[in-house]
Amino acid sequence: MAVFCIPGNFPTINEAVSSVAPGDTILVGNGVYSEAVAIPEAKTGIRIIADGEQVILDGNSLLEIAFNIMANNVEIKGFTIINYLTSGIRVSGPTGLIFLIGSKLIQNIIMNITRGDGITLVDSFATLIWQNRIRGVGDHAVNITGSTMNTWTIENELNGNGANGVINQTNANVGGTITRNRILANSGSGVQDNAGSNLIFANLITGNKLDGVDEASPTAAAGFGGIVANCITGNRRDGVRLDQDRTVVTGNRVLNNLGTGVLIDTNLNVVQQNVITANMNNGITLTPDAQGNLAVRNIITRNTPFDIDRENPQNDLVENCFQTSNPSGLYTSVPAPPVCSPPQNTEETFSKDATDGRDG
Amino acid sequence: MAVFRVPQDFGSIVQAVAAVQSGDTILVCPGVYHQTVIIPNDKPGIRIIADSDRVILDGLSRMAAAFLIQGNNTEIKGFTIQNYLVAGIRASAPSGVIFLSGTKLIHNRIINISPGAGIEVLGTFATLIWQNQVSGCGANGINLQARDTWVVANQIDTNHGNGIAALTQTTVGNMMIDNRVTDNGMNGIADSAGFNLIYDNLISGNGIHGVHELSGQGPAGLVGNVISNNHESGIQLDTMGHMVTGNTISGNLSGIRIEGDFNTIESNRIFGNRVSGITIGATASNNLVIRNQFNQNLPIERINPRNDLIENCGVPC
Repeated sequence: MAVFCIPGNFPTINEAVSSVAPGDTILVGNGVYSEAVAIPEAKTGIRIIADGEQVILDGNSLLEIAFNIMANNVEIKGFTIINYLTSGIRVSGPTGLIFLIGSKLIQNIIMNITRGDGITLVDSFATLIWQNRIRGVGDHAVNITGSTMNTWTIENELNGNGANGVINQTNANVGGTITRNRILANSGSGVQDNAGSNLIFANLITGNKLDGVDEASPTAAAGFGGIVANCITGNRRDGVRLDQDRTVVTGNRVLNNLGTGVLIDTNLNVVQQNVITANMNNGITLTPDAQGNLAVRNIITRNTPFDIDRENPQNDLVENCFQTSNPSGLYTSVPAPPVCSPPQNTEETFSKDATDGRDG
Repeated sequence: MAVFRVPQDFGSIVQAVAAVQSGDTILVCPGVYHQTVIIPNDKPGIRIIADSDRVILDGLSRMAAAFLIQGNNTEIKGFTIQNYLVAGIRASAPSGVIFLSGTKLIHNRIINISPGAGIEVLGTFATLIWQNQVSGCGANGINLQARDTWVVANQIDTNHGNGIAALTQTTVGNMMIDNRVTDNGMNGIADSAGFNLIYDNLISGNGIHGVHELSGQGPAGLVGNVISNNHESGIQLDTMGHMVTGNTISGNLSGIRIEGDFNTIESNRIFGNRVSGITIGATASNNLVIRNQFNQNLPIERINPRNDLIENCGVPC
């Protein structure tokens, strides 16, 4: 247990890592470091922390990965990581180890990873990704894959990246949360979840080139996702697209998306107390394949051409507030008149960061 | 797929559940119902929704539980649940089923469950517990023996046990976000597993610790919480690898007490705690305390020197 400084004690981060013992801390001073740092399995619990505002790892468009973490409980904090090829930070279980646990990736700025991800998690467990800014990387900002579970992606800004903001690649990538992030202008979807069983809470998801949130299912996902209290606006395709069953979508504001506000192509989802306004290809669409879904107490206004497009009658609409529907004259299947009051506590639970996408 | 009303279509919630099919919705009108409602395994996807804020289930201090959920993908929303013995709402996997998935418990008010717990989820997966109030229960407010539970924006107060308890070593992948956990008799949050996220909660005035990481294998994340005025430690870490960052910790006996190894305490505001800001125990090693701000308390009591202190503000050198 000791603290070392770079460049005071070691000239490079790699030399420091190779010398320190488990649990040691490495403070890295301001400067530009052209290194690919590998943290092998034996270096449990080391912390590598930038000790200044200008601690830059520059891969010179030649090096593959700035930090390649293969040990448990490693922290990487405060670095600016630019010009690597495959990943800014990669966390992967070493061969023969099932999971790598407890990585902490905090307040890093990751830019221009030319053909890769900002952060890549392979077979990691209980990873905290907090307050990072990932901009302009070639692929996903945060790529969660392999057997990774329980990833906490919180308060990051994921802006202008080449693919998705966050992707859960496999149906094993469950038990994570994506909370209070700003996910903007990415070339894929804001969030693509191929797993389900993840909580997507209080994010601002805006201006992405595909969907805001896509509960996709290329891998036989179980469903059961939670999409709660997000602001999902101005995405080029759908605000929320449900290609998995049994997702709960509640307390969201889904506005001004070029596709459908909430597109439901699957079964047994609940869409409850959302505000779904001014989307360009219907507010809620229930496709011919959608069955057993419930839309209850949503406020669905000013969507074109329809607020609700129910192509399969095997879906219930209860106490929604809306004006236009296909088929026309769709009324809620109970006699109570719709009441246009805002959903309870939407304001309270809303992200403090997610205000600038609000409508009016 | 249909919508029914109680009492218009069925006289009671129990009768409605017996009659409806998977995926049906039951809207319950205002009134006081004295019932134990069992949702069986063969009726997945039922939604039972209160149709006003005055729909009360009252167990008269002699019924076991208001809702016993054994069907996947059940929603219970908007009820006031009071005066039951064992639990307000219990979701549990029936025997022979590994997991019960997709339970949604939203905006219920659960009070005076005694001697039991407000909400219990046992053997469940992907449960949403959102915007409930759980108050005055005899045991814990919320009992988790489950995975991937999302406990978000609830008020959990004045329960006699813990506010939230992660009960077993396999209770992992749970999130406790944006809750108010106050004035409970024991800990605000008691975590026997690790691998859980505790983010942006207010945890105040509880009888033992604010957060107690008491057993289990894995690292938890304790991030951005306000933890104040708990009777003993704000945060008590008996296990290893936890990340404690961005919290405001004040008015406790000790702000943070560390008995485990490899924990990182980073960038917290720690002030006005009565005995110490941080106490690192005799057997604790390989912990890092870095860039915290201390004010109006003895900053750091380090009994075992095998722990590092870096750039903490308010600590005399």
